[in-house]
Amino acid sequence: MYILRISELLKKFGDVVAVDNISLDIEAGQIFGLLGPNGAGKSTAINIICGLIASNKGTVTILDNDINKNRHFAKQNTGIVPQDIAIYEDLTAIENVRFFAGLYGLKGTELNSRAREALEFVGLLDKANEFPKKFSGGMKRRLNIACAIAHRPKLIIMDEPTVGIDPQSRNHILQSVKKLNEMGSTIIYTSHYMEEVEEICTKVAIMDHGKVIAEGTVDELKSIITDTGTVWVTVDHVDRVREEKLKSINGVQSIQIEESIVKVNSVRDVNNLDKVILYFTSEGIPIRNVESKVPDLETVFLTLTGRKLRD
Amino acid sequence: MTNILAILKKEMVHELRNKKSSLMLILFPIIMITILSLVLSSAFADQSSVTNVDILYNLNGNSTLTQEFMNMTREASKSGFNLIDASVTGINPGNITDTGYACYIQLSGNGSDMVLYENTKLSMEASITETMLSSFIRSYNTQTVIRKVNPASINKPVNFPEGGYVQAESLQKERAPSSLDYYTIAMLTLFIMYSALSGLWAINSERTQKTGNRILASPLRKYELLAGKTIGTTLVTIFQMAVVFIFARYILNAYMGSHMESIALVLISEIIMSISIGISISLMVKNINLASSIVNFVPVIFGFLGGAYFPLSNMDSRFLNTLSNFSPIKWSNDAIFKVVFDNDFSQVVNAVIINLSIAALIFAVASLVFRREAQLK
Ligand SMILES: Nc1ncnc2c1ncn2[C@@H]1O[C@H](COP(=O)(O)OP(=O)(O)OP(=O)(O)O)[C@@H](O)[C@H]1O
Ligand SMILES: [Mg+2]
Repeated sequence: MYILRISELLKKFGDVVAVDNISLDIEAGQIFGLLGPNGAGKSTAINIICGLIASNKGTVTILDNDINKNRHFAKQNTGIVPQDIAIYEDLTAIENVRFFAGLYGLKGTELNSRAREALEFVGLLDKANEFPKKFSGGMKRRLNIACAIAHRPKLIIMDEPTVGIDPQSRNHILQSVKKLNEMGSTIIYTSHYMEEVEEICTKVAIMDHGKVIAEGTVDELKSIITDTGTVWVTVDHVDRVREEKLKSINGVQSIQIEESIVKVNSVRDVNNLDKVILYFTSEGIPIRNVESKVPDLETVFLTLTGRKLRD
Repeated sequence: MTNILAILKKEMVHELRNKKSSLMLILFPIIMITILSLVLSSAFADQSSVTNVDILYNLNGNSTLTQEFMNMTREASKSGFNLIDASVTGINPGNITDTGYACYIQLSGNGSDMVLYENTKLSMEASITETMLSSFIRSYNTQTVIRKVNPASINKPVNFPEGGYVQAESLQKERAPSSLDYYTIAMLTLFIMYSALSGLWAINSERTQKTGNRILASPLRKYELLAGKTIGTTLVTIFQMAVVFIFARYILNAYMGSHMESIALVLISEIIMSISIGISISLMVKNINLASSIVNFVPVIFGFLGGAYFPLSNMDSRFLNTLSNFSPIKWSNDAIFKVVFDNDFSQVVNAVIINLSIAALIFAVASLVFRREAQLK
């Protein structure tokens, strides 16, 4: 079952094509990562899904309902965590959650218990009656999430929910996302941070210049660029390295030597680093530096676009 | 409906927690009323001895009344009323509004009927004349009735839109406004215009806090958002102004007559207009600095024209007096003054209708702008 289907979506701002003919199908139950550098069009795509801006072309369906034909249904089943923190400074934490959850039709004691539940979920229940003015950035981010989940939406869209916060809050948020997913919500998660996406997402789409340039599981994406892992060993006396000896190590496929760097390419997932290093030490070749070049999404992105994800 | 209530409730919480707003819309007007009424009380004390009110009269035939009238003109000229025979000037009653004369008095031959054409542009002078005339009639002939006629409706003499026949007795002014009475009403109508800032803030805070888009991403409809905000902000403003009113009326002891409901009607309609202006300008003018400049500037101009700082009719500029008719503060003030000091309700309905029409109009324009945009940015 697809919770969200986007087909040939196009959005222009004047001459800027912010979303360029995107098609994406997102199955229920995923934590779907939307990865891309600044200005890739992630937020624009999300704003269209939430009905905040109209597309120039294309369709979006949520649980088989076209968002333009059955807007109410789409909105009722969606929760949005905006990129910019969107809470009222002069309402307490629980008043914030209650207000936003109330817009989704929750009332009375149910509204109250769901609001408390949402605050507990993000670890802010003990601050329920405090004003966000006094909150740290991380706490505000967590309240920002609580406001989107109290009505238990089937689809939760999180637009960079971890920007600019301390590692502890970030960790808390990542765990919450996983837990929300386990409790049955499908999550769309946008980020600049590769590590986050690698850690929690079951599927990933990489966006650049308004286009989806790659899509798949994290492993599938990594295998797009290479199915090998590389170790770079910088040594003194490169001339003493015997390539055929290195090649005889289990898993090693090829050797390249550039200046003082010996690049050892191995089949992925074979853990032979210790044997490679043992070779150099047993031959008495001094090692200056060892770098493991296991491909990550950053490398995938670099390979696909020739650019870094973050500056 | 529940959605509108949710927004309404939130709006009221925001406003009531906003100390700046309470300070500006409760404390400030109270201070202004107190100070202005104290400082300017002497300016009001001798207001009834007006200098130089020019009045036209036209007498048909000769009766005791016309003779007494002529005696009265001589007496009146000593206290600043210049009564001039209309036949000398060639001005007829229908044109009185285009002249510098405050009133045109027509006395019928048998002395039973006195018609008073008031120059609406010089309403202060005209109403003083009215008071002077009614005391004259009281002393000489209680049978005579004054028929007040609006010069604009001179061709339809059967329908007197301004109340038709009025007994002379009822025209007797109970009292003239003291500076406290004057500034209580003037400051209320002035600060109500400033409450447009609350409307502005109600929209703009959703922008700056980014919460507007979160609301618009929920199933709530746009009209529910606007309705909730307008009603909520209006209710809070009514509360704030009620505090000011009650303070002035019961603590400072301003005289407010005995028709609170008519006063409330005019003030509430002005509040609705003012909030609508604030909300609409905020929707139409995205630049907050520009928007708040507009909302801050409008009451200053309207206030000046409406006599918020000093009664404009004291000034000798016909141009300003004409211009002042475009100030909501002016027509709201006039309507309330008439209720309080003349027991005259003729302008209440007009003021309410005009205020609400302006609210509806500016709202319609802003809604069109807002409807085309899905975002609150
Ligand atoms: N309202 C707008 N008017 C004009 N251009 C816009 C508007 N919103 C976005 N853009 C442009 O569209 C492009 C995509 O922006 P968008 O915010 O969707 O990117 P993003 O992937 O979310 O970036 P970030 O990681 O910085 O949040 C950018 O070039 C941006 O300048
Ligand atoms: Mg973005």
